[in-house]
Amino acid sequence: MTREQLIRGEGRFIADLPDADCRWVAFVRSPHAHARVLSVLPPEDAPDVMLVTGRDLAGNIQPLRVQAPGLNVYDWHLMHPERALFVGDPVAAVVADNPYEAEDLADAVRVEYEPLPAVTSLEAAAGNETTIHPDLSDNVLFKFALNEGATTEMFASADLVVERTFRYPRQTAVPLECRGVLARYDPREQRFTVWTSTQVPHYLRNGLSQILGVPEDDIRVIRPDVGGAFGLKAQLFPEEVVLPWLARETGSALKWVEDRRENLLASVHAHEGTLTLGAAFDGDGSLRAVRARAEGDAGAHSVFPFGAGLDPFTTVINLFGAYRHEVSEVDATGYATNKAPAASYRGVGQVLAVFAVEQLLDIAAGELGLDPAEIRRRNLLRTDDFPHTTPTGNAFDTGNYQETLRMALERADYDGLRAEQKTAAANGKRLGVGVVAFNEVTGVTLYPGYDGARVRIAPDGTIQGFMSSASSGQGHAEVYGRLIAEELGVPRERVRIVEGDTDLCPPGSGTYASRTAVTMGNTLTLASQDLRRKLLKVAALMLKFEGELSDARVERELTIADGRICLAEDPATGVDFDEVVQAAYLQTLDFALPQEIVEAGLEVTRYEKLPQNVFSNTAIVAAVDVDTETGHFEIRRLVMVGDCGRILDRETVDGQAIGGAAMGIGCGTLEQLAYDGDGQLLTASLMDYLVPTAMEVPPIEVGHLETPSSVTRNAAKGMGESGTMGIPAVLANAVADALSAEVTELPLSEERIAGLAMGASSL
Amino acid sequence: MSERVALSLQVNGAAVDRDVEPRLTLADFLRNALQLTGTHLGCEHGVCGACTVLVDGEAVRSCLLFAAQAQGRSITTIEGLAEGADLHPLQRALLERNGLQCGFCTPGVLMTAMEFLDNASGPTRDEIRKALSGTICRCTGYQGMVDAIAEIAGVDR
Repeated sequence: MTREQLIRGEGRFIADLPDADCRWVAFVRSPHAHARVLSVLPPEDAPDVMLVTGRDLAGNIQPLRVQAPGLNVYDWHLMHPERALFVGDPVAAVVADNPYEAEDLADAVRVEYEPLPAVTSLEAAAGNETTIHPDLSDNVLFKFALNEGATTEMFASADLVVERTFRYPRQTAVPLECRGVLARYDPREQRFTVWTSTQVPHYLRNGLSQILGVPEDDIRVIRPDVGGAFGLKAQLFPEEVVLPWLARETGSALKWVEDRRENLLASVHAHEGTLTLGAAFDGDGSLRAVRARAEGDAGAHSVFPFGAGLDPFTTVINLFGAYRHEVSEVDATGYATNKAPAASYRGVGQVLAVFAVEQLLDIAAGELGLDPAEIRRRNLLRTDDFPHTTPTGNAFDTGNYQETLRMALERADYDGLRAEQKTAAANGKRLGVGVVAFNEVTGVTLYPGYDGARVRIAPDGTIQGFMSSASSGQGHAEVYGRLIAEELGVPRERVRIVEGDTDLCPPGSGTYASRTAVTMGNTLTLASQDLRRKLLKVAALMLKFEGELSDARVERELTIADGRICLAEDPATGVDFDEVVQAAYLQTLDFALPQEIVEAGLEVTRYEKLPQNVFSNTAIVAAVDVDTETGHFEIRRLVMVGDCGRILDRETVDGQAIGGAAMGIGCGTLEQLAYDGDGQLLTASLMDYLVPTAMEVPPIEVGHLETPSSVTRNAAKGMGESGTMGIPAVLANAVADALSAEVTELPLSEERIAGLAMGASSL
Repeated sequence: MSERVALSLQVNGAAVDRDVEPRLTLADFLRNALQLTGTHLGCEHGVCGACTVLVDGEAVRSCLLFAAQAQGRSITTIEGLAEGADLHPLQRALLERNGLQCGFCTPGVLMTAMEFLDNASGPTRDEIRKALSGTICRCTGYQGMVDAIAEIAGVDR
């Protein structure tokens, strides 16, 4: 849908899809964090209801074995035949004629549980008195270690060692549209069609194929309009398996739309973990070595496709990435607990990494008597450090981190803020200033990290681009359409973009980890350029070029402009664009395309994976006024300067920067999923899990620097998560600065700040 | 649940007469019975504001109202905002100010802002933010929305 259609209310989200012939599914969910499911019986007054349990599924579908580096593999039953592993875990599903009846029936299904001891903390998981998965006696779902022992000497001889343990809360993305699935099975074609609110249609098809035991070609996944995703919709869910399976069994089209309670309870969570981070410095503040141990609370499962290492691995691999240092030693573990599975939410792993690194730098600056801006200037990578590879193996192509920081400090009038701080202090007020500088990993090349683009000019000259990516509101179509139109020299209106349909679009990774501009954009450019050259060659033949038609020659000698392909040096000599298209489809009477030179047709499909991840970078300055009595703080200034290489579309970049920053305000100050000791989720409504409203988000000032990437064809670097990963850190630094305290745990609730203020005033 | 009640109301200027189940929410009535799917459901417990419609000009969460409670009322939904091909000026402003991304919260934001603009004279930007505080947007950071409403309200800064 275009933005204009969306603004008219004409979007077609999953709940909006025509469903006159659909029956409705509702799920029976465990009220226990860990329990044996002894029996599941239909409602007393509806003994004939269509009811499917984990046991029914067990003999018919395959468990999934999620595999990725560092993962301990086990059988993931999408609906477990014998046990419930977290509150909200689906144990059965019912089918009814409408959603109201389906929910009534689900409530009346009689399940007998035998509660088991629940693992609800990292400490309990590591203590492994209770085992969650029989195959994994130590509750470890993921384990990774790098450079063991490599920093011992440097830490022993350093002038200053700073080490703290940081805690990051459990959070979840809360896309405003919950999930939903509509599934049909065509018995004649023996094919499934699954409409689902997803970021990863092709991964999903692959997972479904493994679980349902049918070839991928027998499954068509279609992503309708998606009302936000932010990582939450980048995995395969049990409901996406149960509906197509049941559609085949019952012969009915089936629909399920998640409600918000289910979404908070039983979709996926993210971010929760602890990080013990140490840094060794020289006396002048130069960073020498880094050591870290991260433990992530992965919840009940290692979900497909990314698995339980997502947050802790991303945390440790990116620590101090923007800062010079010689060596690092890191260790990451993902533990199973009886909570909803952890997977992705914008800022994966790096929310914790940036928070810990930036607070640790401020603590070190305090020890060394340096200004926070100065310790960053001394350690941030310099332009002549690029290309650069970090001790954990991250390769950076280009960057101007020092300039990004300088711009942010200047725009925020950092020196002025420091002067105001002194004045405020003299009047008994606490004004705090925070500075952070970091980079963002984008275009992730793991799992397997490629994208596919097909660009086609139809015989009538209309153009379609088919992409493996899947927008969830980022406005891909606008940007893709423009990039293709520019490459082919045609008006934007001629180009139509199709995303999110596995029958039409080439396979590829989908949309996550800020990858679209760089990986999809790169592949799209390849396909468009190939198609352009083919057009030029057909035109060259029509213009009776003699000799070899190399790519370089046609690019040099021909141009496309104003609906014509003409000689670069003699624009009056040329052929109409549409005539060239017709010639390529062998539809011209006065010209016969020599097919031994150029094959007929105008369609190109290309796949590509970038040789390395691409890193954008950001610097943020925040000023906050803290009320030490109440713990409340107001954001006075928030200045964010980002460098995402060449900006493909300014409005989109600004939208991602500001929107990501708003989400960062949520992550840093409000968002926290709380479980009690029995594993009951205490925050299962939007009255308890708070996200920022327009009142909590101040005006955000955004600046840009453009240091082109040398890795991507379009010179862009991904962005879209930097606000979310940097804002919690900069607010923590600002509050810590205001209180002369250390902040090692988020979110910055009023309670926590008031506590810090009391501690600080007693010093 | 076979008992049904007769319901007569105006929706986007047209008279509508239906028999409905007493427990049917206004949101589900609009979306399913009338196929007006522009009214979205984001939480179904009255917090997110995506389902906001105007009932006799007042912004109301249609997930918290039964259809039967709208008897005799006049409802305006997002589908009633544009006049054919012509967007409402507020819709146009929201487009131009980068005030939407995924578009899921947008109908609720627009209906909320319609009521606000009807009643506000010379609002400040803080008042605009306060008026929007009952509608959650996870994409935009609200800045474009505040700008668009300020533009229509004639607020300079």
